[in-house]
Amino acid sequence: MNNETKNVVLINGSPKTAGVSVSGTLASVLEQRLSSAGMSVKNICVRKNISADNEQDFRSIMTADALVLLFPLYFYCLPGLLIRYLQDFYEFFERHKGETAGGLNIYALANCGFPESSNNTEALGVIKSFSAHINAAYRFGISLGSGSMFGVQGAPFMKKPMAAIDAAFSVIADDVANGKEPLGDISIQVKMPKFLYFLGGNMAWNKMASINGLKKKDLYRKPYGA
Amino acid sequence: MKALIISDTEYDNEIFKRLHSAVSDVLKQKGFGTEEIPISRGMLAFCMGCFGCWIKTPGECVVNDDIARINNAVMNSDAVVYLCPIVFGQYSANIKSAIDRWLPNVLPFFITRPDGSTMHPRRYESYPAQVMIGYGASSGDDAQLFLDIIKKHRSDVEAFVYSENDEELTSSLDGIELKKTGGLL
Repeated sequence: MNNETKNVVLINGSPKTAGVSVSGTLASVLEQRLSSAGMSVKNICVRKNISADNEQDFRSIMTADALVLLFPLYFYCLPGLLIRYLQDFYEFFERHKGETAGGLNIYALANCGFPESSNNTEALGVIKSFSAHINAAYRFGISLGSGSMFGVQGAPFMKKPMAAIDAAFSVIADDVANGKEPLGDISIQVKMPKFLYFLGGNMAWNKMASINGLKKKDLYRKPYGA
Repeated sequence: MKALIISDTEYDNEIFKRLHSAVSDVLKQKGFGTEEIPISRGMLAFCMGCFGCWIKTPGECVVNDDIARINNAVMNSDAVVYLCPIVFGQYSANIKSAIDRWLPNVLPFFITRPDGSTMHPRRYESYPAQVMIGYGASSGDDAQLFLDIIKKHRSDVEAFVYSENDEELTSSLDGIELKKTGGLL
């Protein structure tokens, strides 16, 4: 086993500018997990850095042992904010690729609002493609369904999914330290009756709209008149 | 008849020029008047996942930039053609900004489609024909991933990859009903 301290970069790809995001919450959990395993962890929030000079962070990625990207699913692939960051990183990589030894392992966690975690499949494929483009090894991804529930403390039906996330994060930690065999993607879904999830969601939208001074019928506005 | 062409100025390369010219010719031959929306870096804010387009200003993004003009043009066109650079198997950042902020055009609720998958319901009675043409993929896998992202999940969008064969492109566009549709999203 290699006893050198492993350097891990986490990328929180949530586009949220306010409030808590699932990706950000889980990035913090993973950071703690990896730090407690003796790894050096850098946690990058793309939203906070999108207008910054990211060269130092890009250099950290290029020299890291592992990179973990955590992001929400937007229209079945990566949010525009995150693909912008990766495009910019790729340009940096192309200019500097001869300068590092390589050997980067990449992991991903994608979460979608729909109950079916399979919606994330192609998004994980994008990370796999990105990995290939930068000569890194895509190790595996974690795919979450009903993603919004992972950010809610004490939400019903969440004991098993949270335990599954914990187990998946342990797999990441072990793989960063020791991994050799190829691994498959891990799918985590919330076992909750769909009608209940839909009902809860609909109630939440109506409640939030009401807080904003809207009536139920206002939700159906057609501003572009088509 | 009105067609909209949405493109990415950061990938304005030779293959794009050829694709754009071919698409423009086809639309003209079919009798469309065409509006161009080239998207450049920084032109559109990135979606911030606030859901304001559902619960604060329903149907409109809370960020008042060019997306208002774009979404209005989209919903009032008969056909919208997105010319999509394929980056790591998905849309480029500029195109993705416009797609992410298309979200106001659906309702927040969930419905179950005939195949059992979950989707959002329509906000409007009809939508333009939407065609996403990918180009510049660096591998067959990336081209296929681009198609899968769209075809495996969306019923309301046609997609294909331009392989610099203009006859093939014309044939693909001829096979699509370029008019407003009331189908499932």
